[in-house]
Amino acid sequence: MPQITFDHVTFAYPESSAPALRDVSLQVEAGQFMLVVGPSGSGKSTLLRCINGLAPHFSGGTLAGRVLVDGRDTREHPPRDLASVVGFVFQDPEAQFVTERVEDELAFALENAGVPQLTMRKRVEEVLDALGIASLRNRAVSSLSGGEQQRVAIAAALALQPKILVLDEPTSQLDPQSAEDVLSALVRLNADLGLTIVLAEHRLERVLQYADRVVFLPEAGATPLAGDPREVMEAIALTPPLVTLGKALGWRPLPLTIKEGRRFAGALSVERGAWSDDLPPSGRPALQASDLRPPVLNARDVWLAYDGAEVLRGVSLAVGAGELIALMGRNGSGKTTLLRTIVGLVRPQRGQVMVNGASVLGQSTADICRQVGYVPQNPAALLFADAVRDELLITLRNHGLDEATAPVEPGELLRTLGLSDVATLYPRDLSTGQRQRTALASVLVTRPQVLLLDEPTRGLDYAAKATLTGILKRWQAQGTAIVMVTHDVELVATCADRVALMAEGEIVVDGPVRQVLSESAIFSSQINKLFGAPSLLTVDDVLAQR
Amino acid sequence: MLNARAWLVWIAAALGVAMLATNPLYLVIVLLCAAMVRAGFGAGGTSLPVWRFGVTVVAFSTFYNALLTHFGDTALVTLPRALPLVGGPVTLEAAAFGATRGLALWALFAVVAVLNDVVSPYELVRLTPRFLRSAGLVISIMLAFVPQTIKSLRQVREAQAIRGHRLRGVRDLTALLVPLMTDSLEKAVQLAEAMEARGYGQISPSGAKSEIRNTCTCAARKRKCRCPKSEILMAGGLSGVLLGWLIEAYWRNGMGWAIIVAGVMALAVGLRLVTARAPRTTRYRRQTWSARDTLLVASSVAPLAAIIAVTLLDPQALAFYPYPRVTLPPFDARLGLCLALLSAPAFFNVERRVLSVERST
Repeated sequence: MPQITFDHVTFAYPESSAPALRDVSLQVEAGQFMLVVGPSGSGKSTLLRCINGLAPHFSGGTLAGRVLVDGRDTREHPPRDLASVVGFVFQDPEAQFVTERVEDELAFALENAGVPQLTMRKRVEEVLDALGIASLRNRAVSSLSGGEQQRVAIAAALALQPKILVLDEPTSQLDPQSAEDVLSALVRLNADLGLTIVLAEHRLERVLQYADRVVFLPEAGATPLAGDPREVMEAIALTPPLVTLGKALGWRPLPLTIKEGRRFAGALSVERGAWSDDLPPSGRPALQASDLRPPVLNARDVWLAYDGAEVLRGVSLAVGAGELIALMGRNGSGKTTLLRTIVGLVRPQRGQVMVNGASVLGQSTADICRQVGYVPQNPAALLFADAVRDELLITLRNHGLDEATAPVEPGELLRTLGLSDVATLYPRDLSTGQRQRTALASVLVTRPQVLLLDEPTRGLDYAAKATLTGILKRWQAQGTAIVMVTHDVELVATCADRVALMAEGEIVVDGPVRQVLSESAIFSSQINKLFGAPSLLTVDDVLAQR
Repeated sequence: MLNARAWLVWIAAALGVAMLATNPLYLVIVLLCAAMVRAGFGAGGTSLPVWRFGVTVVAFSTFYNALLTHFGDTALVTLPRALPLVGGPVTLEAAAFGATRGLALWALFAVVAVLNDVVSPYELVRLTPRFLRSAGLVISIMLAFVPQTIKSLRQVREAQAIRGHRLRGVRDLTALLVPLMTDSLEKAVQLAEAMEARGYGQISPSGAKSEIRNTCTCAARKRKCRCPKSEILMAGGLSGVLLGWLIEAYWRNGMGWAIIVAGVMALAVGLRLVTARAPRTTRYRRQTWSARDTLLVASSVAPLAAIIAVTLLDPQALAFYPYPRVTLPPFDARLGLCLALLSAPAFFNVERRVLSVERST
């Protein structure tokens, strides 16, 4: 008998006319690793919440059909009863902690279940080891990194020894290294302990190889497609670069890992040119010498220390009009601090920041931001108006402008960003991608010449990412200088001109995208890993040669 | 590591002593003890805030009392009588009285500061009795929410500055408060969901009658109406105690005492019932009680007992009343030594329970 059975499940949230899930029938066997994929808003979270009864018991709404979990019907068992069968991990690691200390967090569910103290101590030790977090046991949860927090959350969910672990995009708020730690912990739990795992995830390239089954939800209320990972990848359009290339070139069986792909790549006859100066950035012609005007943004020898620790140590960065620079590097290497310094949120001890040839040091953030647009990592902090359109008007008003004097017509900007349909909606009700674009719009409405983006693709699905890339390229063509902090190598490969790598508060490499990415082992795109040639970074690069 | 309950006894004793002794010399002893304990636990006995607070309070209270109270024989200066309130002689006595009062406040503050240093608020929350566990949990979540909220306020402030927001008037605060509120509410809902998913409020198989938080809408769980026995008992008990006290105050015939005893018993039974009905939960942390904890309790209770005894037998020995002419306050070395016992924990040489918050890199 399958461990989880969805039997003609239709679910609609309260006050919503269209169901989020319509007539879903699915089965998950014990010990399976099931991946749930689909664009944001397609009902992935709802599907997961049906497994432990959060839908409908917590969210409200109507459920037709039935969900059986380990023989129990979720209509009769609320989530708190199912906690001993299903462990649940949420997207935002910080929002799920109840106590202050790691050990207490793990014991929380056990204390509530009235587990005797001796058993409880044993269980806590077990989950500490299972997730490799024994060294964190006495730490305050608020002091942990995102990846550590998420592993603590998984351990806490496992304390009740559930048979099933459900995770709702657990890595979407994490940087690649932390995400990797979390995912490899999951793979180990699945392989060693036989835990059934149901995981919603949009970084397919990282998890596809571990999944036994993939469920694809095309959109809210649509029939899901379930099956073997290869079958599902064949059938859907938005796939990781490797799979896209494999499909385009007819590689069968479809490669899901770089290792599988290399067999096919080796046999392919393409030009694997070495690095040379005349290789254009992917997707557009190289900048000619005549294009090189004096830089719009010029930071020179910037030094900054917080609490005695040097965060920036003599950083110099110049960005010309129409140039897109990707700022990459480990967490804590000073990338975000550099952006914050440019817009005056922190004051450097030494150095100079010039915009259009004039120093901006000492000016207030509000003044600097008329020329420099900055979109921080968490767009939610930016948005507070009742409607998307109002967000734009508020920025204009802050700068003493109105709709008539706006450098960009707000309606036009919303259209460019594909937000016209949601212009009157409440920003926080939107999908992650739409929210990210609303934040962009609210910054861009003053038409800044310099745009600073911090992790713009975090939490975005492939479609939203593609939209964003298109927009960035268009602005770049219009002469906006863009600096983008990101961990997303694929994004960098498709749209950056230059890459600057930061480490320990210094820029260690600054060069053309093809050179930097092909010479780096870690910051390298999937296609580049496959061919190892600077001329081949993206799927388009390879297909252009065919 | 010392038991939090033992610490509570110490705090209670030190507070009791500081409140009963108005004699500045004894207050100074309490203050010194508190400083030594803080220093002994690595919390910096001379850390600025407490001293700054103390000096400010003493100075303010001295100044204020000297200006406004015109009793006492030793006039320092005389302000023109025409000035309202402050006009008249400024006396040494009034200043001394003000200083003593300030000292008492400082001593209380110093003792509470020790509590803050040696026991984490989470340990205190864990001491809540079983039937108040939900309340304890709420406090503990609240404690975690404070730093989180400060963090999101910073984020929001920066995010708004980026959009050209300037704080010029009260109306501009909306741009900060609205995102902060929505953010906190969203976090609260997420936390509620996470707690539900982790079995909070479930009916444990071993605990039979744990239905207190049953809000489930399922028809199967609708229970028949429960007679609120415990509530009636507790309310009755409390009224009994009050009534007994009133009767005793008017008639003094012993009848009141009987009613008080009955009321206390009813209260106790009511509390027991509530406790039995509370969900059966267990605790992860062991409460260990070591010889040192016993020692701590003993060294706290002794000075308190001594001071209570002195208060009852010879109230004059503790009081300091500088009017009409200031004199040196009386000092009994035996009592002083006894009070110095409050510094005992400083010599225990136990590691302080630290919640490690060093940043991960």
